[in-house]
Amino acid sequence: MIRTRDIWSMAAHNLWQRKLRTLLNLLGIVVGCVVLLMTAAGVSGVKNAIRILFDSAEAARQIGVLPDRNAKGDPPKDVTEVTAEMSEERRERIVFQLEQKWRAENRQPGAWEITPQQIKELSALPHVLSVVPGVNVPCVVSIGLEEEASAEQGETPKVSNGITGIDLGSSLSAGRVIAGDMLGSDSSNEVLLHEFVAYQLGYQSDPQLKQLLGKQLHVEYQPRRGSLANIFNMLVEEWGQLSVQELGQQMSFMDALHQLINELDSTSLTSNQKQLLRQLFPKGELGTPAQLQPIQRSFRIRGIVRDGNDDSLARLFRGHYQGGYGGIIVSSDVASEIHLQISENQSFHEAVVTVDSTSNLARVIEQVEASGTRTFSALRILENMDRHVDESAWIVLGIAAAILFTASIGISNTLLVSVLERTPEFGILKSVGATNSMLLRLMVCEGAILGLLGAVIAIVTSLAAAWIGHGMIRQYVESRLNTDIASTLFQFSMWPMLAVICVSVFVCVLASILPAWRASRLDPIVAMRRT
Amino acid sequence: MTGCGIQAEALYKSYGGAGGVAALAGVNCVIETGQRVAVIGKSGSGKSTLLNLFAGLDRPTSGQLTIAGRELHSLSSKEMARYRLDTVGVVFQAFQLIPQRTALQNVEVPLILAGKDRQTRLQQATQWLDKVGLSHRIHHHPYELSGGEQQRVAIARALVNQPKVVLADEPTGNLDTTTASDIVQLLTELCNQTQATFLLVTHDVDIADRLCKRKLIMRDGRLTEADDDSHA
Ligand SMILES: Nc1ncnc2c1ncn2[C@@H]1O[C@H](COP(=O)(O)OP(=O)(O)O)[C@@H](O)[C@H]1O
Ligand SMILES: [Mg+2]
Repeated sequence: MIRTRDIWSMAAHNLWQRKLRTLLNLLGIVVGCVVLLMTAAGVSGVKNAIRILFDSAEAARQIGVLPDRNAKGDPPKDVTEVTAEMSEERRERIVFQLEQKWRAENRQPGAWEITPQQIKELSALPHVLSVVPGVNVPCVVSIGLEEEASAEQGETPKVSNGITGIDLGSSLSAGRVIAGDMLGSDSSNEVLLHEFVAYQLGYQSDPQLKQLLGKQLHVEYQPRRGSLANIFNMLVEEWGQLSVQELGQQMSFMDALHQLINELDSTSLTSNQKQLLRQLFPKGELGTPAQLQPIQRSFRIRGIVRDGNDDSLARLFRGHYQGGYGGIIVSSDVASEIHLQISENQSFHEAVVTVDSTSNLARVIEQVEASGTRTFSALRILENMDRHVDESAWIVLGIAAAILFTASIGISNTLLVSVLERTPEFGILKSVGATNSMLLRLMVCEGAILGLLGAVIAIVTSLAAAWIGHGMIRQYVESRLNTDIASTLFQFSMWPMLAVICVSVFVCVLASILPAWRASRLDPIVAMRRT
Repeated sequence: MTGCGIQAEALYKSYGGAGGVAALAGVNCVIETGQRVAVIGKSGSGKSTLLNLFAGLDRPTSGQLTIAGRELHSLSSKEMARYRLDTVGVVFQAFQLIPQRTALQNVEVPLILAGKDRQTRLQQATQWLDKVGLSHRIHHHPYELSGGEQQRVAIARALVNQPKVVLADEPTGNLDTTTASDIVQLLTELCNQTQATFLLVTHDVDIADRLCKRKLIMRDGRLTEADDDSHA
C-alpha cells in the first residue's frame, strides 16, 4: 500500500527530527566501524610492508640447497616394528629413530652431490633468479709486481685463502664493495679481494687499498689429490656394488687397482677421474703417487670487499644456511669452472638459490626438494611473522566487534526509549490506517539508515585517519629499521568496506527489531491517550 | 436499507475480561448512508467506546457491526487498518496531531499511507487545508497553532482520503465557545459538501442540535432514539 520510498523518507525524517539522539547513536557505530576498518586495512598493509621489507633483504629470498643422501620413502614394516611394552609417546619416538636409521643406512648411490645438470635444472625453475653453486677452493695468492719492483722488495708475501663464486646480480654482494667496483658482466678475468686478504698482503692503509685496484692477483691452487677413500670409491663403482669382504674374496685390492690403471681407457670413469689416476700413477704402475702440479691463474683486481653480514635484515636470517665466504671472489661461472677442474666427481656440495620474492619461496622450495635435495631457508620465520600479524589482528577485530556490540545495545536502548516517547505518534499513525507491518518496517528502516550512515562516516574517517597515520608510522618504522617502506601501511580494498557496511547495517537492524516489534504491537487507543 | 450505512446489532463491550464492567450493553442501531447523527450522553455513558468500535480502533466483545458494507467484527487487523485508512475519518477531542510534523505534513500522512505520489499528496493536502481555512498556516507545527486551528488541521486530515463515514468524538471539548462555534460551522459546511455518513459524539445538546437532525441518546451503555420531548 504505502510506497517503500515513503517509508524510507519517513524514517529519515524521524531521525532528522531527533538530531542529538541520532548523533549519539552514530558515534558508537562510527567508532566500532573505524576500528574494524583500520584493523582490516592495517593487517593487509602491514603484511605487505613486511613482504616488501623482506624482499629487499636478499637473504630472506635465498634457499640453501644440500644434496639429500638419505633414502626416500617409508621403510618396510618390520623395520619400524616396536613390540616391547612402553608408552605410546615413547613408541613414537623410537619408531622415528628407527626410520631415521633406516634412511641413513639405505642411502642412494649416485645422489651424493649436486651435478652441473641439476644446477641448470634449478636455474630453469620459475621465480628463480640465480643459482650459485657453493665453491670454496683452497688457494695461495700473491700480488703480481713489475720486475724492478719485485727486485727491490725481494720476496712478495703469499696468503692462503679460498676462491668463492658470487651472483653478479646480487645487491648483497654489491653492498660489500668498499673500494673499486663490483664485478662487471664480462668478468672472467676479474676478482674481488677481501679487505683482510689485502691487509695480510701488506696493503693496509686506505690509500694502499686504492693502489691495489687494477693490479694482477696470482692465484695458485692444487688439483685435489685423490685420497685413498676416493680411489676405493672409484673401484667400487667400476667393479660393481661389492662389499670390502666380497672384493677381498675375488681378488686382492692391489690387483684390482693394478688392473684398473692398466685398463683405464676402457673403464667408465669420468675423464677427470682418469686424468687424476694418470697423474697419480704416471707409469701405469702402482707406486708412490706423484706430486701434482699446482694450477696457476691470474686475475685483475676490480674491487675490495668487506664481510656482508651487517645488513640489519640479513642478521635476522643468520640462522639459516649461508655458504661460506672465501676471500678471493670471482663470478659464479668462473668459480664453478675452477671447482669442476679440480673435483674428481664433477659435482658440488651445495648451492644457493635466489628467488624473486618471498611470496614464491614456498613454491620454489617444494620444487627444489622434489629433485631430491634438502633445503634451508627463512620460510619458517616468514610464515611465523605472517601468523603473528594475523593473530594480533584477530584480537583487535575482537575489540572492534565488542565496541560494535556495545553500540548496538546502546542503539537498541535509545530506540526503545524512542518508541516509548513516540507512543502517541504510533497511535495516531495506526488510527489513520498504518498497519503493524508498516510501523515495523519504519523502525527497522530507521535502524538501517543509522547503520549505513555510521558505516559511511566511518569509511571517510578511516581514510582520513589512515592518510595522517601513515605518515607518522612510516617515519617511525623507517627510523627504526633503517629501511624505506615503499608501500602504504593501510590498504583499503573494496571488500572490507562493503563488509563493514553490511556488518554495521546488520547490527543496527538487529538492534531495532525489538523496539520495532513493540511499536507495531501498540493499541492505538491506549497509545493516543498518552498525549 | 442501503449497505453503505452503519448497522449495529447487539453490540457488547466490556473492559477487564468476562466479569468486567460493560461499557456497551447491547447497542442496536441503523444509520443510513449520508445521514448525520449525534450521540448524546453523560460522561462515562459509553459514547467514546461506541465511536472507537465504529472507527475500527477497537473490537466489540460480542455482537455484529457492519459499516459501509464491511463486517467489522470479522476483519483481520490488516483489513481493519485498511478500513481506517480509506473508509472512515475520525476527529478527536485532543486533536491527535503529530508534533514533529507541520500542518501540511500531518494532513499528508493518510495520503502517504494510501501510497499516493508526492505531487498528488501536496496538492490534495493543500486543497483540504484551504477548505478548513488554514491556507496561510500550512507550514506551521501544531505547537505554533491555536486549539481551533489544530482541530481544523485534524478535520482536514480526517477528510483528506474522502471517507464514506466521518466520526467526531467531542470535537469541541477542548475549545472555548466561540472557537467551538466556528468548528461546528465548518463541520456543518463540510458535511453538506461531502455526502459522507456523519456521526457526532457530544455531551453538548446545542451543538448536536445545530449539526444533526437525528439524535441518539446513550445511557449506561444502551442507545435509544431521542423523541422530540426529551430535550425540551
Ligand atoms: N480502556 C478502558 N478500560 C476500562 N474501562 C474503560 C476503558 N475505556 C472506558 N472505560 C469505561 O467504560 C465506560 C464508558 O467510557 P467512555 O466510552 O469513555 O464514556 P464517554 O465517552 O461517554 O465519556 C466508563 O465507565 C469508563 O470508565
Ligand atoms: Mg468520551
